[in-house]
Amino acid sequence: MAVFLPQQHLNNMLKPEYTPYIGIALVAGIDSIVGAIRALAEGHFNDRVFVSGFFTNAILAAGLLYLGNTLRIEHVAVAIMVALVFRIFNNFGFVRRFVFARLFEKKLSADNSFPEP
Amino acid sequence: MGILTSQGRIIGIWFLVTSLIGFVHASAIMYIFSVVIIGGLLTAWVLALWGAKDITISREVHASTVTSGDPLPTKLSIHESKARWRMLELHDNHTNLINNEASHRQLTLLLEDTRSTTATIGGKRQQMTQLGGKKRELLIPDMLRFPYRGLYRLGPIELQSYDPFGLIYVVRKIEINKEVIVYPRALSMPDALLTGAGGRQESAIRPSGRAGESAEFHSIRPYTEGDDLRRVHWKASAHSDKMVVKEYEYRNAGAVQVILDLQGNVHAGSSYNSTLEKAITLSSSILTHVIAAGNQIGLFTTGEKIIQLPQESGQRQLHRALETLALAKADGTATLAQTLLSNEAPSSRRCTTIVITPSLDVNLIGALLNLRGKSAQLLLVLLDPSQYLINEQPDPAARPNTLKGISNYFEGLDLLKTDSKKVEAQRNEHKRLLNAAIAAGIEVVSLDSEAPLNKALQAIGRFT
Repeated sequence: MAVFLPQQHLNNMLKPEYTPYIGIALVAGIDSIVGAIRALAEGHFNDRVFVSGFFTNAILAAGLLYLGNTLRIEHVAVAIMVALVFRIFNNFGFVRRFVFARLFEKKLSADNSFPEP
Repeated sequence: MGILTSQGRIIGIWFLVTSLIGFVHASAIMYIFSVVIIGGLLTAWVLALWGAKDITISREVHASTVTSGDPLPTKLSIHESKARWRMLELHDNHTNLINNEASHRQLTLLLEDTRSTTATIGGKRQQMTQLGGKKRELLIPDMLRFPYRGLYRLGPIELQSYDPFGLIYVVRKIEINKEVIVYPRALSMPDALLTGAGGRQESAIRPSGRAGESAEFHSIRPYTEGDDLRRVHWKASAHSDKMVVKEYEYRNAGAVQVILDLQGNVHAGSSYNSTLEKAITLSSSILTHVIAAGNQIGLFTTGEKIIQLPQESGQRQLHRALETLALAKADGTATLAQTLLSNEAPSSRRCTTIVITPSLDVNLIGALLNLRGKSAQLLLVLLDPSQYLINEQPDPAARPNTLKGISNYFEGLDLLKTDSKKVEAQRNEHKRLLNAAIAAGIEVVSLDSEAPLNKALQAIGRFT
């Protein structure tokens, strides 16, 4: 993207103070990807939903952080990280149980609830 | 070759996972998505490569020698043949070629586009010079300080060019090697000693043995253990109930020659906390002090290559001596006694000779007696190497908190038991040599690792 921008725009594009926004967007991206793996396991993965969710989540996370900083609300980044990390762990736990169930050839129940490890 | 940063690695994982999902789900959109991701990384790599191009770095060093601890002004010049936006990190490597210890400094630079004439260095803005066309130059004044003596190689500089998103960086090594000799710092000696008038034995670390035999009579004092019987004033002793000895003023012999033992296996300690460094600091302090008093100095070192600086006065001679000390390594094979007996060491009856060694070799006494006959005065500065072995011991008080730590802890205790015998043996050998030197009538200053050097210099200063 940067290669198409006029050079002088690069000066304002990325500054060290933007680093937290990039970090939050990256974590939101990881959340989307883990969510996609879960959806794939559940069998209702939709690529369009994933791509739209990927960008929306990343922009939303960075936007919320920006809003929090603008309104001078403290620890917004921590709150966003807690929400994202909770979702990542939740989805990852689901995927883990799915993999275990597959590995030990246990049949999944009809309501998609996996046996607890 | 590009290297991914932590953010870049996360995006790399995105690429792998989305490609996998695309494969499993047979989704063209996911394939396109992963291609966009890898395209972003490739763009970042091209931008990083672009940032490392058309740039040269040079360094101007204002002196080739400096005393350790003193500032050495240098100037780093970054010349762009094509001005462009660049995010750079400069990693400046310095290596002490004497002990191969390396240090490294880092500088972050943001060079903005062609319209801008400022750069951001470590968060601060600095003016750049426009050289016409698309060329511009950034001069960074720098002040280097070297805490230890040695021969330092400045460079190479490693240039890391980042893409604007900080996903990837490209490394370019710029070979701008310069060498700087760092002299050992001389400790100051008491002003009273700079006159060269000599003094009496009053310091806490006092030289033992006999006073300067060619000195003027000063006074009498009660006999103490270790005094030479030849110094007993028999007439005065007969008139009083106790034995008294004659005290002499130490005569300044003018020229001073330092003989520094650089035999490899006699020095103890590691890196900068060693008998070698202590001996070098003592030598440089003595020689600087003598030159400041307007006298001649000579230096004789017994490393792999024997270096002999004949006695001369003046700043040039001091620089030669300090350079020799800066480059000194404990790499000699012959013992000091062998070297002294082989008549390689110069001697002069008009010169005070100071021998600095951590040697435990009793044969040294014979060699020193031989040397004393050819010198005006002779002083032996005997460094106790056993103390440096103690400093190298593992700390038994360190509490282990892992299984490996517990294992290391007990190994450390075993090592402590074994090495405490070695330390004790070395200490006894040191004492034996010290007593032998005193018995032979050689002036000795004994120094352990805890002894403050300024006190030691005070004691030594009385001879210079």
